[in-house]
Parts: sequence; C-alpha cells; structure tokens
Amino acid sequence: MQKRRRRREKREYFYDYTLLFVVLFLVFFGLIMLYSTSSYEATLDFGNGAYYLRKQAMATVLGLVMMLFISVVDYHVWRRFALPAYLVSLVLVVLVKTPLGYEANGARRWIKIAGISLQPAEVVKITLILLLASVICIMGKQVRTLKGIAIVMGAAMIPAAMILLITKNMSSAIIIAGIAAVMLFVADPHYKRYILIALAVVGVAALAVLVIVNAAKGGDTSTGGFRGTRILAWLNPEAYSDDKGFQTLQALYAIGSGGLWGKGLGQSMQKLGFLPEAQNDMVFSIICEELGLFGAFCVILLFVMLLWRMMVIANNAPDLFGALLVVGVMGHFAIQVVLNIAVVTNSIPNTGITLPFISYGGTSILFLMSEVGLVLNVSKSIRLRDVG
Amino acid sequence: MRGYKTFHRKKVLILFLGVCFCMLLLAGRLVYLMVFQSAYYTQKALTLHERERSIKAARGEIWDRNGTVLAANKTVCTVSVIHSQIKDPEAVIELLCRELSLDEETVRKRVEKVSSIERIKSNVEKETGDRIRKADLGGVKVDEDYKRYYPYETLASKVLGFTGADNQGIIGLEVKYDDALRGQDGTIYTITDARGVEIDAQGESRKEPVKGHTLQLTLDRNIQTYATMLATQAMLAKEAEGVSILCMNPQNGEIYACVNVPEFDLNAPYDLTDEFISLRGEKLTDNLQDERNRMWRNNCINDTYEPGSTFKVITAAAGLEEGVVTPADTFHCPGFCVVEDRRIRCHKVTGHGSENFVQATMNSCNPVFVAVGLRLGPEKYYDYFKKFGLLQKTGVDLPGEAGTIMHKKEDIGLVELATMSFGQSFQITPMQLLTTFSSIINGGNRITPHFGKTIIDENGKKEELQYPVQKGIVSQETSQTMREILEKVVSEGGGRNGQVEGYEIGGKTATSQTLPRGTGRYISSFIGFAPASDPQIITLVVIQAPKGVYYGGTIAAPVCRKLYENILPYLNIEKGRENTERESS
Repeated sequence: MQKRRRRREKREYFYDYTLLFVVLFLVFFGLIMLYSTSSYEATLDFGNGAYYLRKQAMATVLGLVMMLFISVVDYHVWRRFALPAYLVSLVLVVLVKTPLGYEANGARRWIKIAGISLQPAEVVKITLILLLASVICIMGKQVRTLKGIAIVMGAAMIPAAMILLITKNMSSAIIIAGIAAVMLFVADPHYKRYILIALAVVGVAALAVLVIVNAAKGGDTSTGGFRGTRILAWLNPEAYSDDKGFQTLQALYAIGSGGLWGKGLGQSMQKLGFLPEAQNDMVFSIICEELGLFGAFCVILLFVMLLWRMMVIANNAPDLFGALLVVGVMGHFAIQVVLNIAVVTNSIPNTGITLPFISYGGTSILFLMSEVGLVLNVSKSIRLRDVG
Repeated sequence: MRGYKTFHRKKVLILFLGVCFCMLLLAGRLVYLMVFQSAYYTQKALTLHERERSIKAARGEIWDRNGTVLAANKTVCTVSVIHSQIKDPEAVIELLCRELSLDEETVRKRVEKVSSIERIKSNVEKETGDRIRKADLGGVKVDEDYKRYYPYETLASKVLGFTGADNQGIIGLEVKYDDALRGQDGTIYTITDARGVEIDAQGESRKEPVKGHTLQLTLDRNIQTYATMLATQAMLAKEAEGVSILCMNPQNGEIYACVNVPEFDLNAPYDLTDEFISLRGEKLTDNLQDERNRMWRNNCINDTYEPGSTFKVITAAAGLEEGVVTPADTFHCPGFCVVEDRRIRCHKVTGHGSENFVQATMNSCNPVFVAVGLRLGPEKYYDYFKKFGLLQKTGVDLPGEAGTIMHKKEDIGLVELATMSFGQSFQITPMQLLTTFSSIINGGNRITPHFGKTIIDENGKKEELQYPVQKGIVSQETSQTMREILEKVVSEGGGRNGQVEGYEIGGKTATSQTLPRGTGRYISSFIGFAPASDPQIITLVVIQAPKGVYYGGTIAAPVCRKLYENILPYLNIEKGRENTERESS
C-alpha cells in the first residue's frame, strides 16, 4: 500500500489517511448513535431531543480543531511540556475536591473552570502517555531494570491512586495503570516477567471472586460491600435484577433482542427509559439492539482497523519517542474498547467505562481526538523511504 | 531510526494480536448472546415492554328448553385513568365528576395518584361510557365490559343463581356450569416505554376473548312462570312460610320447573327482598351475609324434611317387590297399632276398619303400612331403602345438595322401622323424594334429575349432556301395580283434589310435622303424575307451615291440579282412557 502511494504521489512524507477516515467515520457514527440513544431522555428531561447531541457535537468540533492543530505541530515539541502537563493534570484531579469540582450522576468527578466542565481523569491519560514516553526515552536501557519499571509504574500509580481515592473512579484508575503497563511491555524486551505479572493479576482476581462468592454463600454479604455485590451480580445478574444487576440485565435484554440484523436504526426499545446510562457506558448495547450482530461486528472491526493503523505507525515511527506515544494511545484505546464491550456483554463485572468516540462525554472526545492528532503527527513524520 | 528496535516492533505486534484475540472472544460472546440466547432475551424484553389489559369474555347465555333467554349479558363500561397520559387534569376531574356523579374529592385523589392505571368506576352504563369517550380527553380510558343480566328477574332465581363482580358464578347453575359459561378472557398487549406510556408506532396486539358456551336448560319458562304464580298464590292464601314446586319428566329426569317462593331478584341478589324480611320477622339477624345465604337457599335441594305419607309409596313398592303384600291383601285398622311399647295412631282416630291394601293406600292408613314395614323387617327395609338410592344423593346438577338423614342400620329397631314405614324419623330432600318416586312409577329406572340439557359452543356445535340411569330398582310389575294404586288414590282416595278433568292422574298426599314436633307447624305436600299409565310429568308441591287447614290433600293437591289443568294440554299429554284402564286393573 505504501509502495503504491509512493509511486502515485511522489511525496516525501507519509500521512495516514486510513486512520483519519476510520476516526472520522467513528466520530460521525458515534454522533448518530448518540442522537438515537439519547433523544428520548433528552426530550423528557430538557424538552429538546438534540440536547446531548448538540453538546457532544460542540465537543467534537473542538476536538477536530485540536486534532488538526496537534497533527501539524511536530510532536517533539510536546516533550518539553511533558512534566509540567503531567503535574498540572494531577492538580486538576485534586481540584475535584475543591469548590470547583461538581457532582453528576451521583459521582464527584468533574471540575468547572470558566463555564467549561472537564473530567481530570481524561486529561491525566494523555499527559501520562506523554510523560511516560519521555521518561522511557531518557532512561534508555535502564527501563529494563527493576528501578526502571518502578519509575514507570510509579509515575502511573500516583495519578491512578489519586483518581481512585479522590474521584472513586476505579475504571479510570485501571485504564491509567493499563496504559503504563502496555508502554512498559513494549519498551522492555523481556517477556517472562510480564507473563508472570499477567498470570498473577488473573490469579488474584480469580481468588478475590472466589472469596466473595464463598462469603455470599455463607450468608455474609457485608464483607463483600459495594464491589462485592458487583461481583455477585456479574455472576448472576438475574438474581440481583433490582439492584446491581439491573443495568447489566437491561443491557443483555437490549443485546439479545437485537438478533442478527437488529431492530433498525432508532428502533431500540431499551433506550426508552429501561436501560440506565444508555448514551454513556451502555451505548454499545443499543448499537447491538438497533443494528444487530452485524452492526456490532462492524463497530468492532472499525476499532480493530484503528488499532492496526496505530501499530503500523508505531512500527514505522522515526524514533522511540514517537513510537511510544503511539503505543500509549493504542493501549488507551484498546483497553477502553475491550473493557467497555466486555462490561456491556457482562463478560466482566460492571465498571463504568465509556466506548471511545461513541459514548457521550465532552472531555473524553476532546482528548481522544487530541491523541489521534498526536498519532497523525507521528505518521506524518514517517519518511517514506524509511518504510520497509 | 533512533532507539526503536526490532523487539519493540515485535512487542507492538504481540500487543495488537492480543487485542485481536480479546476482540474475537468478545465477538464470540456476542454471537452467543445475539444468536443462541436471542429468543430468550427477546422474550424477556418483550415481557418488560408489554403492558397487558384484559378483555373480559362475554359469559355464555342460559336458555330454557325452548330457547328463551333466561340469563344474558349487557354491555357496561369501566372508566379508568392513566396518570402519565393525562394532559389536562382539571378537565378530566370535571368530566368524570359530572358524568359519573362522583364527588370531586374522590375523583381528584384517583386522577392525581401516580400509578400506571387507576380505576375510577366500573359497571357504568354504556351511554355514559360513550359520552365520556366522545369527550376524548387524554389519559381517560373507557373499557367495555359485560355484566350479567336476568330478563325475568326473580324467575327460577334459586336455580339459575347469579354471578359476582368478576363474572364468576356465586350460586346455582351459574356455579355448576361456570367452566362452560365463563369463556376465555382476551388480552390487549400494548408496548410501552419505562414510564408506561404507550408507543403508538408499535400498535397493539390482541388475543380475542372467547365467548362462553350457551347452556340450554330442561326448564320451561312457561311452566316455571305458571308454577311460580301458583306457588305465590298458595303462599299468600295459606300464609305459608314458603312453597316449593318441582316439576319433572319422570322418564328421563328433565326438570321443567323448580320453584321456591319467595324468590329473589337476580339483578339485585344482595338486597334482601321485602317478602323475605317480613317472613323472617323477629328472627331477622344483623348478620347480612347469613340472611342472604338463607334467602338464596333452594329448599328443594338444600333442605331436608320428613316426607310423611308420600313415603308410603316407597314402603308399598318395597312390600310388593319383596312379595310380603299384594293389592288384594286385607287388613284391619282399629285407629292405632302397638309396636313394642309404643302406640302408633292412625290419622283417623276411629280407625278405617277392614280394608284391602289398595284401599289402605287410598286412605293413607298408618297401621297398614306399619304392618307392611314389619313384615319386611328392619334389615330388608334398610336394604330397599338403599336399593332405591335413598342413601345417596340424587346427583342433581346444582351445588349444595343435602344428603339423607337416616338411622344407622344397626340402630333400626321395630319402633324406628314402624315410623319409617309411613315417612317419619328420617329426612330427605324434596328432590330425593321426587326422584325415588319417579323410579318407582317409571318402570324401575332411577334417573338423575337435572337442569342442564345441552351446551352449545360459539360455533353452534351442540353437546347433549348425559346423566346416569340405574335400571331395575323395582320390577316392571311392581311399577305397574304402583301406578294403578296411585291412580286410585287420586281418582277415589285421599288425593281427590288432585284430579284434572279428562286426565288420569296418579298421586299421593302427605301431611308431615316440622321438626321439632309439637310446635303445631306442618308441611303439606302432594305428588302427582300424569298420565297415570305412562307418566310423562311428575310434580311435587310442598307447602311450608301453612296456617289454618294444613292437610296435604286439601291444600297441596289443588295447587298441582291447577298447574296440570294448564300444562298438561301445553305439553300435549294425552287425555285419559279411563274406561279401558279401569278394566285392566
């Protein structure tokens, strides 16, 4: 493909239009689905079916501008701002606790500055990617040592812990830790330690589930607490249909009733007040209901294509810094997509993770687009003669 | 390329493939949910989205034997409000107050209550319902419904019975044939959002209700009406507490009339009637439900009494069948007889003197029947009692049939046997007496008395109801002899008042005391059948506690005569061949 392009365009530098188109498609598809999903509740709550669409569209336009801007600024420029940006984002997280912070949907996760609301956790994701890419480049081979690993993971664990403790947002903490782990995995040539860590994580998770289930069997529901019931509701959502299993069960109704070809765009029943947060975390289940298995596969394929393009760009990046930036972004997207679909299909316990580009959320779309801008800029700096 | 090495590329590829693997697993999960589990979740979701409203099925009609409608349905409306669809609550409240004549407070409370559907009033006249519907206010629902309606009001009230608020039978045939009459309720399924608001685009699906089956009775409205009139007259004339008339075809058990005056209004069954209240007098209690149950009682079936002399027919049949007596046997009645230490009096204190068995029956002579009973002995007598079916219920198709109250076999001494011989010291229902009497005169077939004749389904398909018949209760000869003796009772004996000009009638009178004895209250009764040689109709008249003259032959037999004078021609029953008949006997 690159060869063909070289013959035809005679350009010195590469620009990944495929990635751009996939992203644009996802963004517009996301807006359509958001409108379909949210118009009922928007009409009821605000008397305007396009309420959520309008807000999301504004954030998307802003995001597109940001993306284009970042994609034309050489990414090496950002290296200088890596540490200050990281520190500022940490401060933003703390600001949630100040009067600037505000609560929505029963969780205090946002801040409002000069009329613009912002979710600091979303900011942290991009600044962390930037910081880790810089730090790994500076450390060079030291990253392979235990100290190197400690530094990288430490840099991620500080904001992850803050987000978990201050905003009670476990899913963002997991994503942040996951981004760091992905970048570390790529930067470090070792395999064994990562396989061991992965096995250990899976083992601990399985053990935790077992303990909670046994506690519940013994009639002791208190030890499980908030997250304990989530685990139990995951294993048997119908038994917890009034409580923690409610949203999951409603999502399953939506997905299951979609069938092969879906009910048709706009025809979802579950979005009519049955499925809570339909336009947020659960938007994928409405896609399944309206567009069926076919539509769901198309969306999954789009994301796979997106990740594939990022892999190509990372592997052809002119330097390690560029490659790591792309890997960070790739890790971020991959983790969110996989976890979101896994939650929606009740493959893992319910935790609030949004689907990139499609779920409702202004900060999220703005920073996702910015990250795509970074990736595009890295792609732009690939010299075609280097592509092999 | 600075710092970026092959291992980095390999790791990124592994990362990508790892993600692809996860995606594949999730795709598999989706296939499982959306293909294999799809039907399950689709059904679950549909149940969640669907709201059901039931459509009442019309209850089957009840017809008399000629197709006259005795119980029908009329359309009434149920008015409800759906809170979430009300646009102008004030207008709704105003309209409902005005049309349903309810006070504003009640209506306001229901209209403003946040619920999915709130019933305002049921059993609203159709015209009112139509007016409310025409006003076309959002959130007001008018559902049509059926209410049971009895065009003849009190006619056969204790037989037909009535239905409750949910159209289910409460007493009488409405209970017995509830399954056939009820039909199957239909359902309207509408798709709603989570707040219960119907989604118009989705439309609604209906499961149509199935109308209940029509029940055709053996009752004849004309006979029932005429019998009711006669019973009412007799009750008024004799200031009686109640009069029952049972009219049946003795060959097959089809009941033509079953009257128990005073009747009650089936269209207002819960209101105690004036007649009932005045009859109860001081005995009326405050327990309304007890009094209602009392008013609803069907005396022919739910109550037992001492049959008295009419039961001598059974003793006679047993005696003839067993051969311990023949019509020509002669007896002597001194006006009493002594059994063990008891002196049992005949109703004629001076005694009947010398008489044969036929004459003894015509005279209804107690000592003669005591003698026949003693000839049979307790064991045999009890066996006949059982053989005639008196120990079991008749199996009539009405609920609450009372059983026979009878001595235990081992407790029957000679005194008990003697009193039983002329119909005392045990109790049976009027229906039981009539059924047993029928089997003795119809050639020995114990038939099952019944009201239900045919069940007609919604397509007009008829199902004739079948009832068991037990043959050989008595021999043809005994039956023949009994018919002849009983014809004489009416033509020349104690049942003379039961005679109908030009017809040959058989019958037997009775005057029994009410229990406990010694209150001076009597029950007068008469059983008459026609034509005597080949009975097509049999009638039992029972007058409870008449004032003044209380002899069955004097007051009950004329009621039967008046009835027969009209209904025998109506039923095309052949006039008598008195001469030929007389010769053969």
